[in-house]
Amino acid sequence: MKRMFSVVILLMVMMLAACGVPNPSSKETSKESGTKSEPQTETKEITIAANGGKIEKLIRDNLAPKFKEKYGITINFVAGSSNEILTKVQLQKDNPQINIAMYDSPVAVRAEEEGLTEAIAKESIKGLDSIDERYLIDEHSVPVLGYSVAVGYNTDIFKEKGWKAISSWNDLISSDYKGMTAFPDVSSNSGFTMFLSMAKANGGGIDNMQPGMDKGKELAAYSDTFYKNSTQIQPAMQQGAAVTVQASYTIAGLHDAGVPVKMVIPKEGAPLQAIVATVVKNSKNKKAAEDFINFMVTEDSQKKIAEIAFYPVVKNVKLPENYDSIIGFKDSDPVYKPDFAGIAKIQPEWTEKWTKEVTPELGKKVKK
Amino acid sequence: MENLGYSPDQKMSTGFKLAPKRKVNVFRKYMAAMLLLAPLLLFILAFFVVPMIYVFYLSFIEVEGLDVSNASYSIGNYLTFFTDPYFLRSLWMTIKVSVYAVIIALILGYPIALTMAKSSARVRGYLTLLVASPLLISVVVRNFGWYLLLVPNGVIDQFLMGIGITDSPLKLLFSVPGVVIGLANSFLPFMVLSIATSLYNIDPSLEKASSIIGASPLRTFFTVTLPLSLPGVVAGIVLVFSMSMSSYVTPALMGGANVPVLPIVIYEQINTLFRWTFGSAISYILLGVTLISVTIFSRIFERKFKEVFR
Repeated sequence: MKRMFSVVILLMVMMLAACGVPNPSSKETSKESGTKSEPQTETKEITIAANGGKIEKLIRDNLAPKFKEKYGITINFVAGSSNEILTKVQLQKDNPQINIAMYDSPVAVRAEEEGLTEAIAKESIKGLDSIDERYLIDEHSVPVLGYSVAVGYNTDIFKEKGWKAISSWNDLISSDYKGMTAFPDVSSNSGFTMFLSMAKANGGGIDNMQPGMDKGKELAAYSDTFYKNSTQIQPAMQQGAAVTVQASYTIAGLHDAGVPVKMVIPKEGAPLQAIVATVVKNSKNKKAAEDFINFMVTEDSQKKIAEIAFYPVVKNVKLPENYDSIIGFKDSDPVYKPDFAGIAKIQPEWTEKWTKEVTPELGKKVKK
Repeated sequence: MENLGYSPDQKMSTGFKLAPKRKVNVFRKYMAAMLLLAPLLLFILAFFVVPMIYVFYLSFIEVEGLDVSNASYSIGNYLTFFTDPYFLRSLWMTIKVSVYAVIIALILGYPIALTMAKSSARVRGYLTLLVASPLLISVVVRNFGWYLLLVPNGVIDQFLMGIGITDSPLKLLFSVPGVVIGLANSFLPFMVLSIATSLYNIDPSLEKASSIIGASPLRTFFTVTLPLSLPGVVAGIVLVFSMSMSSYVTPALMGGANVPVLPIVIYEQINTLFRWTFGSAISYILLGVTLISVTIFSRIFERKFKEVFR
């Protein structure tokens, strides 16, 4: 009995050890090993992690088969949100299974700060010169799918009610929209962008988010809820919500679903962002990963990307007309390149503050 | 004495002869049981016990974000939870929502179980299939269906306003009632099947005897059927309560940001704020609270109704 008990304990200890523990030295180790030159063996497949839905469909059905035809390399796809992908990459950091991780820009900066991305040599991405520099972050990532986060409104409802057009982030706070809003939760990229934009519109910014919190409380009072993901926003907009804040491609998705919607860039500005591709630190087949990233920023691939309502990141490709009239922006529109490093630094602290102080205000002025 | 053929040696030798035989038998039985259980035990060990121990270990590490270079061992994560009103409110909301879900499931489930117990074998088969059928559909799909029905100005709101029952949207979604509806709907089969199993085991002659000595059907129910079905009721309550406490999908879809129950808080701490170790600590607090509540509840019932729980 004692022997059996010892064997069980030993087994548990072994398995626990195999799980791995937070090891302060592992960061340095991975940095060192990253500098060693990697022998390139014949590559047959690589794994890419990116958002599901439209992006997954585009990569699986279109880009991956074409890439395989040209390079003979199979693309495996792992779907997840940017945060989920970052968590996976972090967990696998000693033995990465993902070659290319695609994140929203602020999450990509975070991944880089955690040492989870390889630097990508400029010469390995031939299309880099043709990329609009407003989407570029640094040498650890390549922008692939562009978007903005701005205000979307139901044109029919606005017309029917005779409401004036939205021109400022502060216009979102109105008793007119009571119970007819579909704003995102702060835990999402769109939600945090809305928070930051309201801070900026009221004299604050990354170093002073309090004005955004104060306005957020007023905004919450007129809203039934903050939506945790864009999948939930579509039914809400289809069934009577008049105003939302979302990524431009989600607003285009609402248009595709038959909602009479249009995007507006408020006068205080809207950030231009991208879903960027990064090569996972210490992953194998770096060359194949860079080839696929390069393939995604070719004009042909970017045309396909524009067809699913993302802004093409290369200068020579334009958004198709049907989307341009809904989510397009003019050169004169105040879109700007955000300070992603600054956002990544303050995001956790202010996300928690919003959750604790703003979310409880939800619906306080909605009930009759 | 000698005639009896007794000697101290003989006693010893008899003892020696019998003991190993019994030992071998017990050992063989024990080994056979262990071998049969081994795959399951290894499975539980590898995929439940070890990860749980690892999560427990993580919960005692204080670290900022993903950066582990400044990690230190402490009970800080637990202290943070118990000193922050937001997390305590979230714990209270989790308990409240779970208790409501149990009450609704019990009120709806008992009559169904009773009908099943009183029906013929054929009808009982159909009813069991009907009760268990929601389990065949993914919890995500089921809850998204509810979401589409209950969304403000959605089908239910429009129907109720159309026939004049209400004059404004009910606002069932993004509220505690919405989450309770979703949880009760999801876990109702567990309540029904637990109670039904208990009702099947009641000897029908006891109810007949009660009628013969003049008890009304209502009295028979409250003095015979209900007490004898208590083990099933308690099992159903424990199941529905535990599953509601740890439920994520339903509160996330039906409650949104308005009903931040602990599983949602844990998910956000880990996945949005990257505070894995704090999330691990909250997981253990949730587990602890659930275990303690369930144990206290079961003990109270077992003591109060000793005869039934024997």
